[in-house]
Amino acid sequence: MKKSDEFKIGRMLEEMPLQKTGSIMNTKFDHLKERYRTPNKSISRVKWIIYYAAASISIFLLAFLLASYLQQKRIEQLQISNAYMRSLLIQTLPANQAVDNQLKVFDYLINNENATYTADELIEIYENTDDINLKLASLELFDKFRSQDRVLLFLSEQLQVEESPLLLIPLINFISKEKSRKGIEVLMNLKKDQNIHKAVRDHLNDLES
Amino acid sequence: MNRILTLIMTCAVLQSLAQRQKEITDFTEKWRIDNVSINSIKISGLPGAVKITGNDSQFLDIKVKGDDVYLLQGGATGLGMILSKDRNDDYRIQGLGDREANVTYEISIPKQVDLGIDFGNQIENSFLWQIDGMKGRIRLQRLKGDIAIDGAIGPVSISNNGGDLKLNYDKFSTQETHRISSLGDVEIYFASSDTFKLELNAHAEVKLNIDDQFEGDNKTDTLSSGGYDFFLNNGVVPLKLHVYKGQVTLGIKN
Repeated sequence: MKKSDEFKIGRMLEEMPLQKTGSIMNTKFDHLKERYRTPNKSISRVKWIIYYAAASISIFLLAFLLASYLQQKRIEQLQISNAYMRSLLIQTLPANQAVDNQLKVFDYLINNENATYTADELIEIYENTDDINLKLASLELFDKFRSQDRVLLFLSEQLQVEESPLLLIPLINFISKEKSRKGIEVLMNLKKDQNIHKAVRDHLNDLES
Repeated sequence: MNRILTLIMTCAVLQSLAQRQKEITDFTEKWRIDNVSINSIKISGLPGAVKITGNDSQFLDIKVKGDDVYLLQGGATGLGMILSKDRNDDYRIQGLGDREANVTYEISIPKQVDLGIDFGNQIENSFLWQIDGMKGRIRLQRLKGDIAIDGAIGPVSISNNGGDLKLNYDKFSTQETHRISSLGDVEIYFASSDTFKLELNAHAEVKLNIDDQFEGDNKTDTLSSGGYDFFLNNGVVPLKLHVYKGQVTLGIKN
């Protein structure tokens, strides 16, 4: 009995039509496919729009980053150039021998708006050179610091010790424009000096009149 | 042993001094060094008239003439000057003494050499400085006498505390700024094809004599103190000229 039952179940299993099961499944999937066919189309369009947008933004960002990088590079190059000229300036400060180099550096400083230098550096150059043309070039650069008290004080002191009329006259012009107390005192004393060069005396008289 | 060496050295020094004394009384001396390698030559404190000529060869030639005798200090080679060379192939001619003398120095050097002259403050007056055919950089500092430069090409930096300056350019170099400050009259002549911007700083009233070929804001006969720009062929490289009195002539060579 038991055997015949087992046989029946086995037979039933053997007879179960696979095709039939498959068709049921297919029908179910067809139904799902049909259900999602239309929405799938709209998702694809949105995706493409998103892809385009993402690509455009990426390209824009890349271009922006590239431009920023190039700009940064240019600034760095300028800074390197400035740093180089500054280092050259500092190197040539005490070595009074290299006046030609110093004049080249001064050309750069005068002609380049981005050049950086300090009043102290100019004071050091002025104190350490005998070259009159270099000192005249320094006076051009001192113009940027003309309102600083220490610059006026330093140039007033120079006015007391300078002997060359080639420098005394430009120094007088510089000091007299600012009308600082110390500067006026020095100019008054200079005028009393009996040994002063005739060209300087004439210039002081011209200024007074 | 040491005593013998000291004796020998003393004899050598005495012989050298005797030789120099003989040279001084001749009043003419000449040095010539062939095949010299010179980057620049620096001259300081020569107390007489100086004529410097650029030569096409490679030799350094110094001739000193005079009828004035110097009191020489140790190491001098004749009529008050020392010639030395440093490790950078730069030569230096250094005058001795602290007074002007009736002496003429004629110095011939390769024309491409950079020339630097610093007269210093020791000597009150100086004679004529004549410089012909030098094509390198010319830097004259603290000169007091008259200066005549002919055939310059390289950048110049000149400061003249005393006499007049006459400068004749073969061609104006546009490598870098040229700078001139002079207390006396200034005459500068250019080639008609030169290009530059002349920044004139008048520190007193000056008379101006300027060629028609120049362009500028103010080409009147007399300039009051102030700054003036003049251009030749719309140039941009500046010649910065500081004048303090007298007359300024800016001309074109024929």
